[in-house]
This record gives sequence, C-alpha cells and structure tokens, in this order.
Amino acid sequence: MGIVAIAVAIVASFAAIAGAFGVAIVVKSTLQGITRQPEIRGPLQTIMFIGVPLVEALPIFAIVIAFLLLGNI
Amino acid sequence: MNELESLLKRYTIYSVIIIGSLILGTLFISDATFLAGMAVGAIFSLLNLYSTYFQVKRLTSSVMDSKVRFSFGTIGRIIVVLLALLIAEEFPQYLDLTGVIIGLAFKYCILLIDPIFYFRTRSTG
Repeated sequence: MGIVAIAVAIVASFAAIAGAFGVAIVVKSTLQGITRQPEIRGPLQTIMFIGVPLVEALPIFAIVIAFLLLGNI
Repeated sequence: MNELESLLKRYTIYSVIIIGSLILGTLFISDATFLAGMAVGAIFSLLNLYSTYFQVKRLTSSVMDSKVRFSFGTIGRIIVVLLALLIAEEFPQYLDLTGVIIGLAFKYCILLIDPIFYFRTRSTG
C-alpha cells in the first residue's frame, strides 16, 4: 500500500513538472513569435491551439493512471 | 472568421457528431455502459478543448495589450478530467471507467486526424 502511494505521488509530481515545462516552452515560443511579428498572430495561435493539448496529453493521462492506481490501493 | 475560430468550429462539429452517435448507440443498445462512458468522456474532452481555445485567445490578446493575466490553464483541465473520472467511479452502473478514459482521448484523435482530411479536401477541392 505504501509503495503504491509513493508511486502515485511520483507519477503525479513528474506529470505536473513535465506538463508545466512542455506547455511553458510552447507558450513561450508562440508569444515570442507574436511579439516579433504581430502580423502572423493567426497562424501562431493555431499552432499553439494544436500544440498545447498535444503536450498536455501526457501529464493528463499520467494523472489518470495515478488516479486509477490510487483507486486500487 | 479567423483560422483559429474555423478550426474550433470544425473540431466542435466532429465532436458533436461523435457524441451524438455515442448517445444514439447508448439509447438503442441495452446495457451500453461503455458507450455512455465514452459519451461522457467525449463531452468533458470538448469542454477541455474550449478551455484551451479561450486560454490561447486570452494569452495572445494579453501579449498584444501588454497586460499580465492569470489563468488556471493546465490545472483546470486536469481537474476537469479528474471530475469525469470521479463521476464514472460514482456511477459504475451507468458509466464504464475505461469508456470514459477512451472518450477523454477523442480530442487527441481529432487533433491528429483532422489535418489529414483537411489538407486532402483542400488540395482536391
């Protein structure tokens, strides 16, 4: 039981760190691009709209797995 | 309508078609907890997609206006996913947990498959 709880904590925390870094990189790059060239705001917004969910998929499903593990304790 | 809005409209149409067909399947098949779970997961997935859309719009407009704005972003979307899982765990007689998880992944399937169809129709039509 204790080992599973530690595993859940590790999975959730690493998922949070990975999600934060991934989304930060995508958002930072997009916002830098918009600041440099405001005229290509539309395409950059679209790329960000597709990129952010794809980066977020991994942490979200890691947390789902952590949640399922927690349910099986 | 700009590119982002037309993209969101297309994704919404796909999601509504999928959710509608899943609800129809739930109505016509007896003991369809899996399909009901997939429908609930797809609804929460669509909610997450709209949350992403509004976040992207707010972030880019805040850069243009040089304003600092706070948003929950990823944490909010994770809470939405956990809410879907909690609902599925609370009502196991109506919703299958595996179905809800698969339904939550519909958004990513749409995001990955849409460009193939979109560019094919744009190049032929």
